[in-house]
Amino acid sequence: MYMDIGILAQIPIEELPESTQFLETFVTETYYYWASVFMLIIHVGFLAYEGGASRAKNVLATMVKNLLTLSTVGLAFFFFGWWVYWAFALFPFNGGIIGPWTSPDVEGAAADILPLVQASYPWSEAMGPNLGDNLTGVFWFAFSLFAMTTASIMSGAVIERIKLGAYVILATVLGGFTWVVAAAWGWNYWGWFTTNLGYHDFGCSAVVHGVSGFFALGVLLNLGPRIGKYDENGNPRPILPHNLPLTMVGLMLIFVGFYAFLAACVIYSPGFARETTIYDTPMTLASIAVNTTLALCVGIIGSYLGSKGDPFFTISGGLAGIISVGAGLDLYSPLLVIPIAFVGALTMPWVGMWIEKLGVDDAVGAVAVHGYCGVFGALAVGIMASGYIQGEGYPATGIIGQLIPTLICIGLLGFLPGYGVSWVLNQMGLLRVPAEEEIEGLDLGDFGTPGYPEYSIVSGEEFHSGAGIKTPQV
Amino acid sequence: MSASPFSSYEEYYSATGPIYTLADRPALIGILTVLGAGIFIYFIYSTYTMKKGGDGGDSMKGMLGFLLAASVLPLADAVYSQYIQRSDHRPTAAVSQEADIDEQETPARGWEPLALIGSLSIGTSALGRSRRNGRSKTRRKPKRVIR
Repeated sequence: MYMDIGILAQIPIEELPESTQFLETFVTETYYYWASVFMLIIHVGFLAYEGGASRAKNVLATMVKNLLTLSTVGLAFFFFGWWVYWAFALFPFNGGIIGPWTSPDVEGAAADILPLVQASYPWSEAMGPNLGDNLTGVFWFAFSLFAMTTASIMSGAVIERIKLGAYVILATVLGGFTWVVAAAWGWNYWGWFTTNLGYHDFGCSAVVHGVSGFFALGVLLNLGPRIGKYDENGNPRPILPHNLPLTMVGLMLIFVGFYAFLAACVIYSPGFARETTIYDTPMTLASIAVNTTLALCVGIIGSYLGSKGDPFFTISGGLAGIISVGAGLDLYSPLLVIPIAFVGALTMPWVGMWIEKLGVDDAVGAVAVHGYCGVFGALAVGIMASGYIQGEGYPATGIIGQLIPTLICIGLLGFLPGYGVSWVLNQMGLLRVPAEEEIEGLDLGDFGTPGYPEYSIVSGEEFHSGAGIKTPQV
Repeated sequence: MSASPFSSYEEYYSATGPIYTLADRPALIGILTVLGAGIFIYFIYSTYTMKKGGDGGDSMKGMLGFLLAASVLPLADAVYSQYIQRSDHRPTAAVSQEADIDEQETPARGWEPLALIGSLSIGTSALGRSRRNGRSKTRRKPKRVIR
């Protein structure tokens, strides 16, 4: 048996170049489409992880919150986030914010960006079925999944006491605006972090993880700890997951999804003779395969040792390792990945425990895993991958070029908006559920039904909705 | 009136640009954009008001609804500006004689997005009010029995 290639003769020779051109487009279209589909696994993982990490009385509210993350951030990114990504790249040092008000006669970099800005409007022709543009939609899809990831990072930290509406507003601000500004400045071909300072953050260590982790920290300061988290002396008490297997599986799914996340950070377009980063620097997908896997392996080991075998920190270690090398994943030697990921993951539990002792109740360690490791990963490039020049006239990568943008990401675009918006919501009484609802459980408060109506999960949290089920004698 | 921007199979098959419904009517696309944004904003508002369990009586709901409705105005303005700029636009293969008619109608349609925003705001407030009123009568909490 062999394939009859005579069928190819049915295609007139003069049409082959055109079909070959279309194939290039189709490869790009397909690559980003499926990479983004696999990125959805991150959200399956966050849903399972956070649902398992919550107590039985809050499982439904926690999981619905994760589900609504997709709706909220997906729509916010469609209506204005995608525009922000393109419009803010030059602002404030290299130009203004580009929008409907920008003159078509604008020159320089703004002239290059203007068509992309126009294609990003919700009413743009590029966003609908359009035979002249196969790629804007799949790039939007990939970016919207990045945006959803930022909000999901914050969502775990605030479980079991935040009002659903407050979370939705905060997710909109974070996923639809603040991280997008960080991406416009630091994860964009025209972004001034790179053109003016030589910033490099391939895997979005600071742009996604740093921003989200510190946004969550700002929210947590206003939100306060869960009732019962601290004893009368202020010492933290463990609030254990109600479903540890679900938590474990959730984190494994997040690992899988992050491979797709990082693969979607690779840029390939029709006409390209090689793969590049978002900064138009050369790279290979193979480097993602090797370095991500090593970071995952070493990260788990590092957290295991750093936490002295604590299972909850250990399962987060893989993510800590990947984030710790994310910014330079395209540059690092595999043998350099191992120590960087190890140190990042080794120290992550210490940061998590320190934050907890300070009175910040981060239910899933998001500040330590994403905030701290995001900063660690972005700064590591300045030391371990210094000297790379990413464009004519651009500064080379270095510690100052990494430090300043990282501080802007975590402070101006992470902590401040998180603290500010949550402070306003708190002043309006819209941030945290009443104490009695928190004690009773958010599932009853938000949905009027428990997550597990048929049987008891935890002694003392039994609930029966009057469906004729006998309650156990306690 | 058809939603398709094409009048024949030949025109559709040979298209090189947008092929989506209403591609030749940017004013309607603008209205749908505002409508979609209104649904999104109402969803955010409803996450505070739509509770099946506990009391959930927030004193600042009216203020929140007002702030959310007001936040649509910049979007409406942007859409309106874009609509004015594109009022004579058509997909590459779907330019037709209707262009002349649309250009004559453009000034008269300018109020539509803003009117829609106004109606959405009123509708949002009314829905929130009726739900609150209704819930006070129908709210029920499942019995919790622990022995």
